[in-house]
Amino acid sequence: MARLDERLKHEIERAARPADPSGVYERLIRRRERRHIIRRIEAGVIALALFAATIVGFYLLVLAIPARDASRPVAPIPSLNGVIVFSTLAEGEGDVLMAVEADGTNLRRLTPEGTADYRSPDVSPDGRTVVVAHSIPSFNEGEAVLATVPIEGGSPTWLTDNLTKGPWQVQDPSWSPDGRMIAFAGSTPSEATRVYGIYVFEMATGEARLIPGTDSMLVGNPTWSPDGGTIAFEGAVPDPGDPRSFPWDIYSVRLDGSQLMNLTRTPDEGETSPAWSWTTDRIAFVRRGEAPGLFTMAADGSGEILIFDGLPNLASPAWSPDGTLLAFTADTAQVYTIPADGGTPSAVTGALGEPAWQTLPTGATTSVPTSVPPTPDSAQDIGLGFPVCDVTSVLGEFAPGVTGTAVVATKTGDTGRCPTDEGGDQLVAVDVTGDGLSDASFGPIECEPFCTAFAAPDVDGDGTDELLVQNVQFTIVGLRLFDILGDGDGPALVMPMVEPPGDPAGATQGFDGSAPPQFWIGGDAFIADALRCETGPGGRVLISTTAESLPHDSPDAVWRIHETTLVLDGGVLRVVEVRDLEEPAGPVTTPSFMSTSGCGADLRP
Amino acid sequence: MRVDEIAIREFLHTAYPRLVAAVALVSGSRPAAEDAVQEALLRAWERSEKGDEIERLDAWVTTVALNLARSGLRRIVAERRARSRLGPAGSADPLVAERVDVEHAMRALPRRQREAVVLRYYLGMDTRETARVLGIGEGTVKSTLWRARAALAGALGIEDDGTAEEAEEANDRGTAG
Repeated sequence: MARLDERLKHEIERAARPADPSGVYERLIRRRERRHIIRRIEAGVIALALFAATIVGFYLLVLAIPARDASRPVAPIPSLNGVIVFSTLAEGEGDVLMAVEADGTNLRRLTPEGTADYRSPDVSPDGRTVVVAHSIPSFNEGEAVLATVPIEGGSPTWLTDNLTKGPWQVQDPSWSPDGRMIAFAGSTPSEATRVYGIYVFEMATGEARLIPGTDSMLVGNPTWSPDGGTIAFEGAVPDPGDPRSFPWDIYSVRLDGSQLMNLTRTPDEGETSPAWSWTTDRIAFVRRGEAPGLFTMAADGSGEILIFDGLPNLASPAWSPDGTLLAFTADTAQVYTIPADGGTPSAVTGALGEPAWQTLPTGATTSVPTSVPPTPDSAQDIGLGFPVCDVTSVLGEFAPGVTGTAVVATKTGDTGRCPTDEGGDQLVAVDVTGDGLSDASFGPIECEPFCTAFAAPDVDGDGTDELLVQNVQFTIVGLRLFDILGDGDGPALVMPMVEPPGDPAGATQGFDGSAPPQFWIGGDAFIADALRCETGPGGRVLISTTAESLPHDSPDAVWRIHETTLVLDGGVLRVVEVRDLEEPAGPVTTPSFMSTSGCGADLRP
Repeated sequence: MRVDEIAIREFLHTAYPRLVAAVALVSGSRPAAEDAVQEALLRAWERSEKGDEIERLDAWVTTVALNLARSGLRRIVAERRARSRLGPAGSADPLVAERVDVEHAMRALPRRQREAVVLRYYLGMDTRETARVLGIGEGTVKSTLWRARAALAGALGIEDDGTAEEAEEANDRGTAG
């Protein structure tokens, strides 16, 4: 063999560091267990279908022809119905969010390109926000965060509780009628104390609490009563005599766990996917087994009506806000609409996947947003000399007394199409004069997987705004700071560096001056990071905090916090204080350093 | 072969340590390499339990781990998870400087060349095996390695004393024999 090859082998052998396998098998086992929690629910549905199909076929046939309850006529209120939002698998990507008019027109995409998943959408009562179970490739299977996406489209916003405590297992989020709470099926992020059940997330506090009793069965698809006091959900208590059998029924329960009731009581059939109409007070659901169908019933389980049974794979009913129509999926997840008292379904062209129906915002005359967000394919001229696409922007006062726009965009490719996230050059540009054209730009910038304009806080307290750009989005959000400097030659956009020696302990974030500073917001498992803009004795400061809860999963855990305080001055960041401190890390307590939002960017929807 | 607890434990004590090192050389991230190899191993285990046949566990896991390690997203979250465990980088190890040289030279190579170099020179795979793991032709493996050798020799200051064809043939003979 040639000497060069021998040398290369030798050098690479010296450079490589073999891993220690001890403890890895145990980590693999834990990873497997996490996946099984979600999978067993799906398995339960299949097991029930097989069981029901073989044993109780005749009985199901009898039940499949129920008497119709005509005592509750539906009053049409046609002005309420907005678009249908649905989650669908995009080729080469994950499950993306789409929106379409109920007549199949104006099909459009709401979420950015990428491999992230946006599942189980539900539109807020004011019609402006979609909540989803949002997951990204790095999450373990079943893990997701609660996130919201504007109804007109845009990047997801992760709800604060998820950011601080790592991904939960989240399924089927559902808004309360007052928009203050979101119910979901899932479990807490802590492996050691994982409890699976129906949780209610409070928007005001960012905390989620388990509805007592729902952790004693397999659960899914919570849906709220019109008064917001009761939640209906699908639940299954495994049959002790046949562990393979999961008799799914529709249950209801008060928020405090009282009055837990089985509304369907069909031990040999499976009822799932309840959807409670806030207009008619009826619950739609799907029955599986020998005689599948889409049904509605009264809130106490009485007055069952078969709405439709003419297509296979019926699933995911969603009420129109006026209560006159039901959307549902059938066949290969095609979305249909049907009158709520039965009739012939109509396919919604282009809609494939779990639907949710928007209530038109108050005062809106049309469900089509007045300002359609830029799509990745729409090239725009913002005065840079070349077209850009995939534009996000934030307003700010970048020059005294003038409201301008800061933009993060992708340079459009030579073919006129918008490059993918990985292939395109992204840049930052700022219009300080408010004429719609950029006065300064900076790029390309490194994005993982994409960059967006994040916020325009006044970091240095000089009365004009700086710019924060989100350049990493993961379980944590990464931010870059840009300063707009003005001189005789016009404005300049710079990424301030930290003046050495800075904070050597923060070298991985560039706080030692070795690289552009990378700020973090959010958390991953037992790590929580934050960024605050505050006014101190010496003026405005930027406080970056990294913390870890130790020991992991312990009631005695404390946050070990490293805090770096910086001052922005003339395009340079100076470290003015470095502190290491501790505070108790309670199981649901938001740490003090996370109690403020990220420098002008409210992380809550 | 059947992938069960015994096979997993055997893999962990034989192939795992070097495979993690290999993926780390390719990806430039040790935490991402550990994450990718463990994920690949878990997927092999689950596929086998479903009845899928996995002919050679080490080759299968290597292919999947290299694919997983290509994701920059996985790298970031794995590094964040590992950050507190790893602590600050030490400088007492006398091999660190040389290691940095090799890692730097490797990082300058295109991804495909890095993968080919590590499979050949560190994991000892022959051309056919390397081609199979990377999902490319044997001719492509040879030309890829030829370019990588030249670049590494230049970067590390090693004299290139043989033709690529001679080296390839010698390598394949040595591995086969």
